[in-house]
Amino acid sequence: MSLKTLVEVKNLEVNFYTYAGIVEALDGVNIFLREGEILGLVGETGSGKSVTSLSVMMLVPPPGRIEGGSILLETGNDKQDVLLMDDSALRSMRGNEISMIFQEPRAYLNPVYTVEDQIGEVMLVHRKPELLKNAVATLEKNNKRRTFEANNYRRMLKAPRSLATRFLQRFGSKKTLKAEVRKEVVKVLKSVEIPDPERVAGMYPHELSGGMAQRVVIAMALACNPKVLIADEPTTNLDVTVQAQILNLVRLLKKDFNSSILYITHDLGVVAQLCDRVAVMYAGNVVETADVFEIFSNPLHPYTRALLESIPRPGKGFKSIPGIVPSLINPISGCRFRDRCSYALEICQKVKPPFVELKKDHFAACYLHGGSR
Amino acid sequence: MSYLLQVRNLKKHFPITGGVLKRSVASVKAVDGVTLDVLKGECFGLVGESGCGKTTLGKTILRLYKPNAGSIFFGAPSDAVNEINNLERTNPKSRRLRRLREQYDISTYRGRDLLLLRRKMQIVYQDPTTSLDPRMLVKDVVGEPLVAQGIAKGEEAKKMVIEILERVGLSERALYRFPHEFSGGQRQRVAIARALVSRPDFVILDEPTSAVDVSVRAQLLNLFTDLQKEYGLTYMFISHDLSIVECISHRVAIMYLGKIVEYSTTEEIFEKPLHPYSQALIASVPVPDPARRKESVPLKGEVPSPVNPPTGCRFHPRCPLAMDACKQKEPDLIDTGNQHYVACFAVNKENR
Repeated sequence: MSLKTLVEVKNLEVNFYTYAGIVEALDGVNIFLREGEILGLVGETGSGKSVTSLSVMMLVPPPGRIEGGSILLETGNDKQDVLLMDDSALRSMRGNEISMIFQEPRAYLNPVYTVEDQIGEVMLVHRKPELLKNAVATLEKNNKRRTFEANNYRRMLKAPRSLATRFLQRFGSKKTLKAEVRKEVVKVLKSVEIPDPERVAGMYPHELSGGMAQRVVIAMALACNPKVLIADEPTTNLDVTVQAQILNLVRLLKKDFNSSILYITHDLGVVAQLCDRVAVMYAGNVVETADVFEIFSNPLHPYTRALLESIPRPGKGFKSIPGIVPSLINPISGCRFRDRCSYALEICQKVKPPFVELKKDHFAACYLHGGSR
Repeated sequence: MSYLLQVRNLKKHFPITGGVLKRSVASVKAVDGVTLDVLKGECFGLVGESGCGKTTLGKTILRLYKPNAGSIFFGAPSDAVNEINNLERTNPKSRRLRRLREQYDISTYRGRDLLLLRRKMQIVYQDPTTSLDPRMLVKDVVGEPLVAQGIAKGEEAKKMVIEILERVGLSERALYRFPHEFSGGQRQRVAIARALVSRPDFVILDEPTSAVDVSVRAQLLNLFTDLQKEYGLTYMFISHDLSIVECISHRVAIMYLGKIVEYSTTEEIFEKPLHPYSQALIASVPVPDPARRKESVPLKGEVPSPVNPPTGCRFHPRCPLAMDACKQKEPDLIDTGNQHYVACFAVNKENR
């Protein structure tokens, strides 16, 4: 595995301005994603997992606002800060560089369009020139190089925004382009292991089962070969046997496409089975990041430890974490875990522990383990 | 040990209506011939994928649905049950059988009998946000069973409500609050208090922890085990999360498309599952240990529709061991010894 970092989130701060007060949803989040790895982002409800991933796409919904920090994205040779991009740069970044898969596949599919229409739309938005070139090539092969259709495609390639193009592209058939799109759609459906992709391409979302709908959403995310894939609890509503199938698919994607995947989940079993590295979040902070073997064998932060102990194991009863997740409106000072932590020190009340590298590749934010006291 | 609940060949089909006259054109066979016994004081786990009929089975046992066929005996003496079984085989039209069934088989109960039965069986639903009325105070939500059953009202009811609220980890302060003022875990505690306030013998827990977080989940599960000891409750724990069921249940039944395919003690099921579906289901659970990674997919395809279940064994289209016999005949639940019941021809070879 190469050590090239694709996405680096530094000191990200996000607040939500609600009537009840300012919710400090993210309070200095640090994560990074390397090329070709699966990073698991673990935490309870409201810990800020989803807000982190939405920030990377610049999709934080109002009343949320990104208040500080940076999100560096590797594009070619230089690094760009997502937070400083303008709208058109963002539009081409989403889908091309980073794509996202959501929890509830059916809610993210439009019920009145077929699978082909919806995946095709993504392709036409992001990969139109390539598809047009393919269409022209096909027409030339069939000795139709001088037809109105071929000329139309050439015009769309050359001057896509000109008035004449926009006027003329309404006329004449676009059969070849549609056929090209369909070919690509079937190809991408095949890559997510959908049986009989030609038939599924013509189906509407209600005709798909839960597992199948999730595969379609994954296919849509892969439509433009993004470098980074963000998966936000993609298997939470699925049955275990289907979950096993989807997890295997994610593993295949990593192997075949060398995708880097940010996998958000609250299931530690999934993390152990799938991820290379793990970042644990609690109340808007990343409290610990390490290799998956390291996290499970040698957790440093007390919260990670408590989380691992809360996994039900037969014959041992159920260990719970005392207390509840604190409110993020006017959160407590210092370490946000301190009032549930059995090791809390005096300094934990005053100063937020810094997020430091304690061992190679093992970061934690806790005064118990060195850090600067 | 005595049985608290005995279910015999229970069926619940939901009609699909069609046409102008809304005639029934087909039916969803949600529960299709389930036989099981629940011992007094145990926690009986019921596991299966979504849509296999777990919840319908639970609700039918509680008589929240009227079963289409089969019988349910709740707290009936075993010699009465045996006599009914004998009569059904030898003399199905006898008056003695009819009288016995009216007395013991709760699937025939109506009116007042049913009302009295409700006192003894309760249910805790999956999502407390939807199972609690948002416009009722906790006092009324929890006290409603007392009033409806005619057990207590007014000050007396309030006293009982406070007592049960304290037992489930809430305080008197919760009385005059609405459900939305609580966190998910506390809300589920209110739902538990409502189920227990009429002092039932049998409680169905229908995925009670799937809507809460890991840390709260452990608190609730501990509460369930404590309450079970204290009140001598019998649970039926419905879940799709096998890791919880493994920890909390004494015996486990695995359901597939309206049928129980295997049931036995928890250790037997999880250590040596016999039915190929149980094996696949248990192998699909992600183990929280990175050193034990499984990279293979144990089961391909998805659960078929319960409207047209496959002929013969319902699992045969996905089964790695499927034989010709599986396509034609439905296997019966047979004891393989050690109280381990399996419905599979590949396991019970002599009964093909």
